[in-house]
Amino acid sequence: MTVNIKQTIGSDSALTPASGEIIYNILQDQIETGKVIDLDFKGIEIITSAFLNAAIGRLYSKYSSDELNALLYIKNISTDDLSILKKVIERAKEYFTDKRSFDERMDQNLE
Amino acid sequence: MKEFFNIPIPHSLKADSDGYAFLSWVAGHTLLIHDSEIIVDFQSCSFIEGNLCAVLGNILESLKNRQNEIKIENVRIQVLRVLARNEFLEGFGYSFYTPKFYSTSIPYKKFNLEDETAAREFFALELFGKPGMPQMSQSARKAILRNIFEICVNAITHAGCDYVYCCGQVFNVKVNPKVSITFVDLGNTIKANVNNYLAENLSGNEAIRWALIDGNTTKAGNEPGGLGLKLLQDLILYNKGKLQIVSGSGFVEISEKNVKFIGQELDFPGTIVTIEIKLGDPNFYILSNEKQNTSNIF
Repeated sequence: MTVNIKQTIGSDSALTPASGEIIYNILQDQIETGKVIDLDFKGIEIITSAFLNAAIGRLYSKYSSDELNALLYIKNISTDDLSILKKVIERAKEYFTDKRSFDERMDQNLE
Repeated sequence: MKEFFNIPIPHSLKADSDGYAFLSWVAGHTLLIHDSEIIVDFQSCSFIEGNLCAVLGNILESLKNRQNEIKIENVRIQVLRVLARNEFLEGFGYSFYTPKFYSTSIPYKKFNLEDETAAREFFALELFGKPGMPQMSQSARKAILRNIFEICVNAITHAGCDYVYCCGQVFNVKVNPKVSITFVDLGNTIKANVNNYLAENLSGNEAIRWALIDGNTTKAGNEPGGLGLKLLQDLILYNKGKLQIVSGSGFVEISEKNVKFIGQELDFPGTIVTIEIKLGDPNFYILSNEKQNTSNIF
């Protein structure tokens, strides 16, 4: 299926974590059932890292890079926005790697 | 009978140590005042940087919300024009007409970002849509707008406020045209958020220093963050502009050349962010136009 961000959030400006969460919920539902998604940025004028963290960065809490590469495809994204998305992805990977190792250390300490 | 509180605006109110110290004094000393009459006295004031109206306005609006009556008095004509053009006076019942067609102000406004398109259109019009504004590349305009919203979203997310207030002043001069925009919230300070998150007791400056480090975020749960301030610093470096962050006892100023940890004696009960963007270089933010591959991006 194709998820057009502009149509889904009803705005050409993807700014807030709340809007990002709308996209996240749709992506998560589709990924859970193993369906391929085209995430379409057509019509988006401006986007923030806060939106992308909530919509996409958060996916790394549940899914691996391999799972996301197999099921999620980015379409019609501008060069500017792609550079921000790449930074968000890089940061999310680091964040959840650190968080998992932190949580594991905490669990070991509590055992 | 109502009690009075007098706010004597200084001779010159600028976005510097003295200006922020004064605004911190006002915010701190009026925090608990209610049901009183507040006199904002401009008798001594002959210069005000228009963007600082965001801070003064936020303080006065919160006073209004506590049933205080606001009176703006003794405003000199040159200051009156600044305060009328940026629509600050309208918010406090002071009537003065000045033509706005060639206004170089970004009006005093509060945002809650519920209408994202309206927020974007406001800045696109008020910042880039004015007659005679220096033209900038599409990438540069987008980078500036994105960072404006990174600041607004950060303020609302981290400060726990419903609104962020902003006001700006365009200096559309031949040599070094620039715009200064101030954003403010009267919510949780950076110091409080960082110390709460780290369970530490960092100073105001140390807390801002921590928040500026790439990847550091006080967000809890399963949502990464910590990129907004990094992108803002990148923009300032590309543009050779300036970024000031005032929060609690912290005051940090970042420019292309250095980072100054200035600090302040009186706490500001919220966060002020002022950005100064140079408008003279239309292509300061150039990205490769090469078609980038999005497969296996994750």
